Amino acid sequence: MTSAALTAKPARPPSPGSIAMDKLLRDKRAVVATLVLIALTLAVFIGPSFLPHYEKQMLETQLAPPSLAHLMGTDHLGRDVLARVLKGGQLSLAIGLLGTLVSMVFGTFYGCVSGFFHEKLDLAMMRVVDILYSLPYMFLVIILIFQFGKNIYVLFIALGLVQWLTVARIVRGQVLALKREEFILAARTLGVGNFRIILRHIIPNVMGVVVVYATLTVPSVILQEAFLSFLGLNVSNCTWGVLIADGKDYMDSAWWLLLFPGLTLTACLLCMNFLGDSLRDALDPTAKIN
Amino acid sequence: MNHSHRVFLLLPSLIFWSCRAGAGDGPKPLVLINASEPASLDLHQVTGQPEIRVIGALFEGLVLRGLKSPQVRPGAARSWEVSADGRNYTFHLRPNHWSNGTPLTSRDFLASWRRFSNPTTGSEYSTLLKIIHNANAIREKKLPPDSLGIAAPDDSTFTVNLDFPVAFFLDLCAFEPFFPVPVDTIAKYGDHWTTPDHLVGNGAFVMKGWKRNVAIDLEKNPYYWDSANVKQAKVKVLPVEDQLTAWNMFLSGEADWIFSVPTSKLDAAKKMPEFFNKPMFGTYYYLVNCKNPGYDNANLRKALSYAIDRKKIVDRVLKNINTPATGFVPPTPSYPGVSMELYDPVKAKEFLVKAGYSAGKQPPGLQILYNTAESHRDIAQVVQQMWKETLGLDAELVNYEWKVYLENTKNLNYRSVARASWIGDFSDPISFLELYTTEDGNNRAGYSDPEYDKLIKSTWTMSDAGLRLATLRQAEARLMEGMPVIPIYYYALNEMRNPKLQDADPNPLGMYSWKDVHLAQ
Amino acid sequence: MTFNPAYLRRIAVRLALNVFTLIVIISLSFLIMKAAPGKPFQTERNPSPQVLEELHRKYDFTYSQYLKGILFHGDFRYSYSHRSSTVVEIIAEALPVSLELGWYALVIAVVAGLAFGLLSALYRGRWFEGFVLAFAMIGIAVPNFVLGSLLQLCFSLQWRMAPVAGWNGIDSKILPVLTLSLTFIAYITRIARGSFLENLNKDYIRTARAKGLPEFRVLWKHLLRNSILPVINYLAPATAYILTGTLVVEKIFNIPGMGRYFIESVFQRDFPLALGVIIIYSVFLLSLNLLADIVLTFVDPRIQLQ
Repeated sequence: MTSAALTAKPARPPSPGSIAMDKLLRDKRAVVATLVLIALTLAVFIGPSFLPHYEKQMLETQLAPPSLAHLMGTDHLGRDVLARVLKGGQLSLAIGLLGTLVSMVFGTFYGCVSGFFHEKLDLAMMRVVDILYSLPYMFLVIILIFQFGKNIYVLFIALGLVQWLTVARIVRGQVLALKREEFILAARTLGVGNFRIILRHIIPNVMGVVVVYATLTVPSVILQEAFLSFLGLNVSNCTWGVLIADGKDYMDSAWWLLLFPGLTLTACLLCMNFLGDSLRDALDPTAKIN
Repeated sequence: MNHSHRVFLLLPSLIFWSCRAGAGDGPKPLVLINASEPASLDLHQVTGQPEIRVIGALFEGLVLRGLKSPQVRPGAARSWEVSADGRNYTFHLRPNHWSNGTPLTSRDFLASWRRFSNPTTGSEYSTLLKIIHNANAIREKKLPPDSLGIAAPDDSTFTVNLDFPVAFFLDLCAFEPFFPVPVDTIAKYGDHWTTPDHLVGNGAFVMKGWKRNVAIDLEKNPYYWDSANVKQAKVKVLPVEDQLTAWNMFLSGEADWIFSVPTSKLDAAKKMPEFFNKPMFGTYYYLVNCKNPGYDNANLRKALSYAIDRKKIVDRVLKNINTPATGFVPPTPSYPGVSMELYDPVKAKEFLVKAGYSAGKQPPGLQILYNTAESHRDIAQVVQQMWKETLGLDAELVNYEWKVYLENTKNLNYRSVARASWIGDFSDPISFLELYTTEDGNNRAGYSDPEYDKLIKSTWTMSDAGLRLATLRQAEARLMEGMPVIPIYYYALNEMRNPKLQDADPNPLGMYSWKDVHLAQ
Repeated sequence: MTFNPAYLRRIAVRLALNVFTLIVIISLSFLIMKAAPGKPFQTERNPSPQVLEELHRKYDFTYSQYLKGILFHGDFRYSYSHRSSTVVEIIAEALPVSLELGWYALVIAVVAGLAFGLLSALYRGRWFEGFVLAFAMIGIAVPNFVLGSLLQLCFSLQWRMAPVAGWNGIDSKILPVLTLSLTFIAYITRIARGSFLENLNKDYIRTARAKGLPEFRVLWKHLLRNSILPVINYLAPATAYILTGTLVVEKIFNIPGMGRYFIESVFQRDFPLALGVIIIYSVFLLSLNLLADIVLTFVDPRIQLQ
């Protein structure tokens, strides 16, 4: 598939990156999704400074419905829900992004090494991936949280550790194909060192796939954090997952506790998924622009 | 077209309804929801409420808890006498039978209590036996179990020889670990004696079936001595761990009786006639690690305590279903206990200054450690803000899941403050006050006050009940001076009950008399 | 493609590798569990040292004892938290329930996902496609614990159509299965739609249609067969996720399945039960991966079993 793009080579062809960018900019869905995500990120990081502190309890105004004073109402301890949704967004996004980053970096590195070097090393390394794949991963996450306490770094590592497996597999597959490409063979015959080849030639070529996978991983990490919160393994008292897990108990009496964090989370996940889809289309040379 | 469309929409609900019909043979069972599946029904192996609830229906002790009054009633024993010094009890058993028809005699009690005291049985409650002659030596494996101070001179007489003349001994006899077990059945089936096929009991009910995590089915025991007065024919015990699911099951009519109401539903519950609320012999409190630098200072502990507005917590977080704590031991009719106002912001600030923290100086590592649960988290957050507003102190919240929390508090492996709770095993203040004596295994505050220890120790040998309670009160007041524990509120039972439920008055420990509980027809 | 000796040998090699993997997993889990903080027999009322000693004497085991017990006697030992039951007894009761729940959810997810995917691909650009896509997106973004509670509130409390909890009779099974499958309906819809769209534009479909074959036959014989590969590829990970999903669904609907033990046993430090559950899950996942690979070789003869 990728080689097809390389066949036609006019004098000064636009780079694959700029083609993708061009496609992406013309994709309305992707542009809207990106704008929403940017707005959300800005709101999440700047917004809380204009609002009451997210932990400030006002026990006199518990469970107040949305009003001008509290745009998203207050929760069972009288805290401002908007402030909590935004503050929770900081953590959820951070968990999603950093968890993904950890897994992408490690997975890419692992996949490159596995695919690039000797076949026996590949076999052994992929066996490790297989073993970890068959380990019920939630168990791993739970134990790690038990072992190292409930702090946010543990969660990055725990979720990252789980997600890297797929990345490693995907990257390895790509590397195996790339390895036989002419430009790699050429670099080799020129005596370029292995790690230099990986850094200069392999990694830039697998980046596209990794980025696409990353945009789909962020939402899944955020959802997994929510899942852990439901089980009481939350690492913080204010993430989207915690707010939703708490809000679900008030579904019938104080709808705003579930609806607002839920909508924000859904909007964020939808945009990331849209963006991921569009990125994949944009990076796929066979797909037409419509 | 239009018509078929409507049928299509109706179809699912028709399927639903047709499946639900047909579940009604025989008298309606009383369906109650247990918070979890019993770990075991061996009454010498368990410590939890869910287990004890079922065991109480299957077995019966020498005496029964009072139904409307705190006094015990005759159970397997028809009558009893106490010697003048309060140290020798003689029980006269009525003719009793096990649920398989074999007679139950005083020898069964003898064997059961010996099994209970035997360290190889591994009963975590066996420390309760310590008032009985030789029990401590048996637990430490210095004497064999048959040297326990109990005897069965004939089939219908059972005697107990106490080391301490404690008034609450009869309450203990009504407590499930002191009930008899079928030693023959146990010898025959070993660990599997509690399966529905093998289990033999002497209580008002027998177990008809036990499907793990589905239900325990109980039926009236025809061999029970008072079966004529047992009005409930069938009981179904469902294990449901999720509080919200249990609440929904009550609302939908799938359960008649739930023993907890989720905090988020308290507002709604309080407006319903099915809501049942009664004070209980338990305290929710914060421990302070008295071994750690800074927190070994009673002034700091008192500052922290006086800054907590308990009334506000009870009003606002707990929706007024509990009572703010005014001492460590929950008040009972026989023991009103220490009753003082524990919230006083002015005093709090004074004590903080006295402790040496003025002008924004922070005590080292102020934390609130709590085990993972929504209600603990909410209270910790409220207390955190109160300390901030009243004392200017910044506390960090730390939460651990249950087993790690237990381990850390037990080893005093926490910085400063940890959430704790205690529910008395028997309705006597000693079950609370003993905890913070220096040597007690449950002293998770690391508190040591020789004077306090002496006071508590002296109560064991007092045969004058009035003097004893006065001494205990003195000890409690002293504990509040030292403040290794910061009481917050007294527990209460919060239940939802089918209005037809009758004779289900709990004693202060939250235990029921299962032979009396029934649904009116 | 069929069962020639080479093919069978490959399967045998895979099986052997799986056994090896399993032993590694057991060892790994054992190590992690032992390293986890918290003691299994620690309770709120401190047991006396003598009692603790007794409990440890009765229940403790070493790694080699454990491995030997499993490999040679099928003995998974006694559970710590359900004291009179062996791990085998507990799992034997719970596994069928979870399998049933997971199976229904998977079947519904595949059937509904393929149907939605096909219809939205065929009716591209119509309102139906928008509806399906919105549904798929929401299915992916709504956590199943919210969905489960919502269904309970509507169907059990508001409309009284189904019981809140339990696992007996269809009426009690519909809501949990729906809760569990929704996310996967959404995922499979997306995957299937993409694959269908790709293949609909291919020459062989046009040829088949041009030949005048009945539309149904075109779709069934040609399109489905060629488009189903990505869906099958997704099945193994989907099943793994469904297993995790059962944790939530079983909790909300109080279903007596394996899911609850997964969390509970770790919380309780019930090592034997936790290990037992892990082993069962791993065996399941390993076999499933192998099965998926075998199925793939049948669907697409170009794929070789590695």
